Amino acid sequence: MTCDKYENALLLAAASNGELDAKLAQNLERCSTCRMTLRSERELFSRIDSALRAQVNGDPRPGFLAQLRLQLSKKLTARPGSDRVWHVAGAALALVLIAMFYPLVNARQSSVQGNLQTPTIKAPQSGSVTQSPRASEDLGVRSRHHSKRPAGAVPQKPEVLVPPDEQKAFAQFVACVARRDAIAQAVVMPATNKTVNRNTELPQVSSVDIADLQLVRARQEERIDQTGRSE
Amino acid sequence: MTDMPKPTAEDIAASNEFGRRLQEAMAALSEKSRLVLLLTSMDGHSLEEVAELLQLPVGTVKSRLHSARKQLAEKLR
Repeated sequence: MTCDKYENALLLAAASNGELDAKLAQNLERCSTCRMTLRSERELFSRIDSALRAQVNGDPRPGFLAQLRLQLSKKLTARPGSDRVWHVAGAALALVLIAMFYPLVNARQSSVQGNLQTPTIKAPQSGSVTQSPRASEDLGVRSRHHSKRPAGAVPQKPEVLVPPDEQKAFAQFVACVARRDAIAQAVVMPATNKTVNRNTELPQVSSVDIADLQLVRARQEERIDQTGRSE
Repeated sequence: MTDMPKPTAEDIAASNEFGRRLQEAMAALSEKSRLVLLLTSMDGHSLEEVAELLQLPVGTVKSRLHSARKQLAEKLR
């Protein structure tokens, strides 16, 4: 065996600093070069370890803390910039979302306000009950299923949403009410406009008889006595 | 060049360049190996404590430590 064969084994033995293999130990007894190599390698590792311990466990070099504070301050001042970028991005995203959804919300609110207005009921042109679908169309009565109006469009006339199965009855009701304008006016007219005839004048009394309560009782007792004597 | 003796570990340690070369060799290590090497070099830290601190098996810590020391020796030899 040559010494080159034990080169790696020597390095491993020096690095691990453990017990030597039997064959390696025999080679070290015979070869002085290998003994020197092992010794120098062990010394190298021991120097490395001692230097590392000195660096890790020793006091920090002068100016280390100042340099550390400087680096920390740089990182702390650099962080708000990145946050500012995120804030700007968030604001831009919020604006885009508002621009996307504002027309939809605005149109929906207009539609709701239009439905909340007092509906104006028109009398049908040719008022026969059999033409109730036509009458309902004239009156702006539409069902949800038949409405072809695109979403977001503001209705020109106030519409009354009636389920399909109740459209006919509602049209009959509207036609009936339309023939009775007085009833329709009474129904549609707000309560504040209604005038109620109330008699707010005080009752007038021409003359009042005021009698003493004790005198009245005495007269009643006299009457009772007289009736008792006569009997 | 062949007549000049190879510098021994003592000669290297005695030189002022040893510390700088060690720093360079440390910088060339991977972060995992460097961390294990520094933690095991700290006083009062056993291999088991370093393994628990890094949440690694003790065998992994030993392997990384051996590899790191071997790389340092190769650069400082």
